[in-house]
Amino acid sequence: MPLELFPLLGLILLAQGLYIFKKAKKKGFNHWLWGFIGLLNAPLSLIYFLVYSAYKRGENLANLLVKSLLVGLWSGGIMVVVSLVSREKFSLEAEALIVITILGAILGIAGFLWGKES
Amino acid sequence: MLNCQKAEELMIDTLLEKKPLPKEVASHINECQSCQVLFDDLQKMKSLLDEPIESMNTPPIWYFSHLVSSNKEDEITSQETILFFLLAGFILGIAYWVIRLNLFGPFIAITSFGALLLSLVAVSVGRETRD
Repeated sequence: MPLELFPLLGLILLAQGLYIFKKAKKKGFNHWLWGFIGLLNAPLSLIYFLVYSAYKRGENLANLLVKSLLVGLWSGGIMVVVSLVSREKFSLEAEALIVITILGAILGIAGFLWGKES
Repeated sequence: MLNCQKAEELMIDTLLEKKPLPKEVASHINECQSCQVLFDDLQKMKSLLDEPIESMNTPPIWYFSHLVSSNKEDEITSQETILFFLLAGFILGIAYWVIRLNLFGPFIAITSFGALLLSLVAVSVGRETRD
């Protein structure tokens, strides 16, 4: 990863960590631990937190996970099409295609769970 | 001479109006077993009605403050925000040096695994304290 992208990464991690920290405090979870988790990784930490939050709200966890997986598959599929279409234009390598697909799937799941939360 | 029905009416009237029991009713109660039972029941009822009910029906003030505090959403304090930003600065400082030393791949792997493990810890801790 180029060092020029570090401010963007820092901003994403900080925003995510602060969001999780505030939400965890409001919900009465261990906010320091969740805030620390939120600073470690994006967006997997957000997914973990949102799944736990949904579980605590009393939602059907199996149903939620199945729906999340379906959303992830859809998002991943869309990103595969988008990356294949723009492959030649941006001269993307096979490794980049896989990363974009996985990232798209994970972001789709995070967005779905975030929507359920708010 | 009083009959039982008249005595019963007078007993209820004296109970409702909180007057002393007339002598003729009192003598009838002494003679009549069923009226004596009725009089005892009315006396018990009267004593129950005379008990102060406000203290029983109104919960203490701490109960209301408990309800309010349990519904109130906790916001993070400014001190916690500052400490959180210090923690974030520390972690992002490590991330900066990791990227600079070209160790981003292992860093992603370690943080992903660490986040998963810590999430499991947070879930187990939360289950112990809240459920």
